[in-house]
Amino acid sequence: MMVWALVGEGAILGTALALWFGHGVWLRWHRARTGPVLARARATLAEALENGQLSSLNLQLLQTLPFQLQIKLFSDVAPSLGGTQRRWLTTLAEELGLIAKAERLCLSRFWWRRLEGARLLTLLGGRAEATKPLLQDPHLMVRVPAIEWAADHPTPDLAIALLALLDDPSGLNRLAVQDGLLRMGSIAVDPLAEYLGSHSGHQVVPALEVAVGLAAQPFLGPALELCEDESPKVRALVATLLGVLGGIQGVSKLPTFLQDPDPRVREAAARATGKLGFWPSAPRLATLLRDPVWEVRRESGLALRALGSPGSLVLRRALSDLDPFASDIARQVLDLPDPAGLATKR
Amino acid sequence: MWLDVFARILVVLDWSILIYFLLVNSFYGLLLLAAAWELRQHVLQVRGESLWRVLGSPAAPSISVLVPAYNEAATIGESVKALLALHYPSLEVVVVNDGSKDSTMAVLLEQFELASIHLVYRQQIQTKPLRGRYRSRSHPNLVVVDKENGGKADALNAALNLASGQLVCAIDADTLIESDGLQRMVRPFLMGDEVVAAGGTIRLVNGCRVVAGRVVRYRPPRRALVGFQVVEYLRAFLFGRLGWNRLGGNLIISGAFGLFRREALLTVGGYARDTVGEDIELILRLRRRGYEQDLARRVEFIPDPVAWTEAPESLRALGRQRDRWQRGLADAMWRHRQLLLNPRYGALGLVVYPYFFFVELLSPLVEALGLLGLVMGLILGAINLPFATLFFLVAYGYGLVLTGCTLVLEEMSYQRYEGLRDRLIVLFWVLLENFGYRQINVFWRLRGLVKYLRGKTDWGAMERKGFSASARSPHS
Repeated sequence: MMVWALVGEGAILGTALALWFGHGVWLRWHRARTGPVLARARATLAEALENGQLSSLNLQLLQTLPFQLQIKLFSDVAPSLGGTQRRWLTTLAEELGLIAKAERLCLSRFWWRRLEGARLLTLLGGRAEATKPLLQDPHLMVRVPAIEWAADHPTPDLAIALLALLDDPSGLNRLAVQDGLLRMGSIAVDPLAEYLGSHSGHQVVPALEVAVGLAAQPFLGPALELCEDESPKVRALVATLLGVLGGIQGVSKLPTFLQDPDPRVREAAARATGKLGFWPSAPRLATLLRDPVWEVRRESGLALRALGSPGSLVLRRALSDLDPFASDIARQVLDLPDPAGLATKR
Repeated sequence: MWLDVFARILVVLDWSILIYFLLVNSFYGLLLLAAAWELRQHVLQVRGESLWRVLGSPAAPSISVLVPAYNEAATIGESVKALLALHYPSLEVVVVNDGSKDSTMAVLLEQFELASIHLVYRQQIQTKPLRGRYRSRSHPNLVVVDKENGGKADALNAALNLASGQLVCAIDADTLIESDGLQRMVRPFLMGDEVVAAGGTIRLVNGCRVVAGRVVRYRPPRRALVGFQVVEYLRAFLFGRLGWNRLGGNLIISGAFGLFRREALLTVGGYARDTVGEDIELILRLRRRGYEQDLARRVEFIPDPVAWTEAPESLRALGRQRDRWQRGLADAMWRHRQLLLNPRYGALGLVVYPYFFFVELLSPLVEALGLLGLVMGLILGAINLPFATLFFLVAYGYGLVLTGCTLVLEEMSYQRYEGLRDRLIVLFWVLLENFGYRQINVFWRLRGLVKYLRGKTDWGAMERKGFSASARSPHS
């Protein structure tokens, strides 16, 4: 038994160390061989980008590079380029056959190959025919680069396609969609407004978060319709959205939210009111200094401070409020010392 | 006759311990396979990923980095600058000067143009009184809190009260985080709402070249003590914790670098102040709460090397550290003893907790008994040389094989070792680790257990050299 144990352990250890050292040797040789080649290729590409053209000799140099080195070369350069240079790089990638290779990878039955292909197409600027179907790929990781690609090529159709992915089970994909829509900017506004107008409940939460980021007037109508939504999270986001949009219609809804039964909505409404500087809401905010939830009291206090003189007056009056929590939050917001030296907690 | 009886007892003891090691090392083998699979999946997912895109999006969750600092004047300036330079869009850095006796606060005031501020916040967790709150004029996302000394856990809780991020990253003041470390660490939280905490691989910075708070050149250490620790860390992170990912049971997030959901931490009451194992105790509490209240409870580990920390370079400091870790582990196990073999807690109660109890906690005792029994058995003639050799092969040889396989995992993924010389140095430490270093570790851990049973709760002192001192000349 001892001999077998010794032989077995020796064999596994020997194999592991051989792999470790062997790979190290190969890596060193590989880097020594490809380093100068890659450096030359980078210099060639940089020169071509400056001149806007590539000589046939230099094109040949790039064509002879192994696929992985070509990818490394383009990966290093592409993120820093935009506009005409980026389009030129895409054309070059097509000439070198990289885009075709990436598209073939996207058809693989192995998710990691499809992922590699999708990332390449996003990097190099793939065609819609190859990339758009990846938005529906069964593997969640493959959908992310497809979403990034869509954000780089904003059209109303792609914005609608992204909106359909807002309920993706993967949090990473939802974040990618939200990021993508934000990057699309004005192109995403109308499709998003339509989406908000036709959905409700938890479905609209990620869409509302994007709407807050884009802060465009077409969102006002759908936001007003969502004021009565059953979900407190939705109402809280609507309050936030109304705060960034402003306007008479939106502002007139905020006092209602200040009396919402859910504290998250009251908190968001208080914050929005402070942001808008809507001083007629000072009395309503004053009542919220007595709110049972600390976060609501805090936001109300800060909102009052943001209102300037009217708000400060209310806060100073609150210092002598019979409710100790109202007076405490007023004292904190006004940066006055705690007379008892004790923290008040609820 | 008594000698015969004693000899038989020794034989039974040693066979039992041999079987114990066989079972434990076989389980390690399973962990290794799980780690290899997990690593492969991870590498396939992140290869070619552009971190700056989605993970650098303003839509990503905000992160507050919590930095407890006690007598860190030598390194605090460099550390904070490096944190402020991290690549993450919504980042806040909260440094807590925990009543330092040196010039830590003065360094911060001078280097970051701090101005006294008033923050309206709720003290959800009781801490020692705060003496001042400051914001940097040059870096508005830097908040500094000056407070009375209360220990690391107290300082972290103070930072937690003030932090505004959706996620909080607790680090040691001398931890160096890779520039894209937070982008990598936030990924598990985006994949699903069930993740409550995440940890990353910690590497040892001793001997590396550090410039402006970034490790620019990695070199395996030339000193034995640090070399052995490098090997230990590789094993612990690359196969231990990664393997537990796949088996659903991470229980340790290194105190040097961990990312948590802020609300979850506040709900469980933050870090426990009356233990030296606050990191493992917190994870146990978070996971327990997850089971008891059907909330997020998954603890993920990211294999990417994301942070660097300084290892003790003296036997004394290392001994104190291992002693403290063992005491912390014992304390956490005792506090949450209801988990043991309790089906209510699923894999946590039936697999993870028993493993940490019977293996991580009790293995130094078992190993010490085994070695003692072996030596006495050989002396008394109760045990023969082939058995002793078998014992070593199972107990130590197997461990060596696992370490060798861990090196292959490292090669499959991050390839930090350049050149034959670096690899030979690491191999040297791998081979020597089991001759002396492992045994002294057993002693320190046993000492920690005894101290715990005797009620000792202090931290001991860590000697800090600072990164400038640990950086080597480029010509060496």
